[in-house]
Amino acid sequence: MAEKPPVVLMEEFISLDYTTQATDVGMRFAQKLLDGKIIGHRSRSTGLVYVPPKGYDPISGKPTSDDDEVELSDRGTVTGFTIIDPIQYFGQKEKERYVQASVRLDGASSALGGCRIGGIPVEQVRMGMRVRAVWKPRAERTGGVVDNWGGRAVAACVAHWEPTGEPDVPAEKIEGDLG
Amino acid sequence: MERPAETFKLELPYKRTLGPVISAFFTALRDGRIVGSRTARGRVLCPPLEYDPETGEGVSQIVDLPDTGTVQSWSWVPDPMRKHPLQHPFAFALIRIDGADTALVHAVDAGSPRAMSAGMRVRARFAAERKGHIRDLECFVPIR
Repeated sequence: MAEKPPVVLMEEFISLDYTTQATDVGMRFAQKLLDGKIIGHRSRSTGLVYVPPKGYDPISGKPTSDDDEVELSDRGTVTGFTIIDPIQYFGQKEKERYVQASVRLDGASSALGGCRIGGIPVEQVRMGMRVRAVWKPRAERTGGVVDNWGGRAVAACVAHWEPTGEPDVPAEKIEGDLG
Repeated sequence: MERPAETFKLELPYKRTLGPVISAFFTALRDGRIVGSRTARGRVLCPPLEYDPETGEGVSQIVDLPDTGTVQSWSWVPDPMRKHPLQHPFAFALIRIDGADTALVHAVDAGSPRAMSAGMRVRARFAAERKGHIRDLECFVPIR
């Protein structure tokens, strides 16, 4: 009988199921989004406004609470973006290229990540571009709106972000932002 | 109000090439045998490593080892999880294969923690179907 060839390759399948429970601050952020409002926390120690609120100031490490809540505009500035050419892997839902951007809302110190840009050709998206939220109708703001990161909650309530037509914010005014 | 919770599934299928030493180990397991690697200083490592952990020198000599060994330490697993090697209570143990100087972490199918002890003798039980993977070595069982 011929000898079997040596084993030279190992296949492994890593699978991890995990469950997260919504935090108080994540639930409140989502609840406010359902009402069409975007909230953040203003840190008493640094004065910085975090959106989504984290429940603490990551710079000072001090906790923040509902008492530190501020409501923000649903307009902001693109501080960075990525053009995505969706690879058609199993489970992919996107077909066309699209843009995800970080948007620093007016009044916020940090940018909201994963904002889908619409209403403008992909090639024309730029840093400094002014955008506003295009809210989904109230009845459609459903399903999986609570997540402790906040991005999914925003995407469940805001269809996309479109240009406002205002003049761009110059790059030097974006530089040094928290993100 | 009930607090929402969400379950995520994180999955990563991958393949890796094994290199000459681990390839020899997995090939032996597939064939129902255990091998180790011998360092320049004569220590036998099982599971085999590609280097001598004391000197960092490369290790290439493969040595045949028996399918028996000694439990050095152990921890009982009363409620095995989905990915554990056995689906009934078992022990994870550090097993020094006879002829080796280092120990291998694996499962011992002993039935009860009362059957476990440091110094106990065990023998490998191989899976009926083997494909060249650490799970070809199903577990170890006490030598009675």
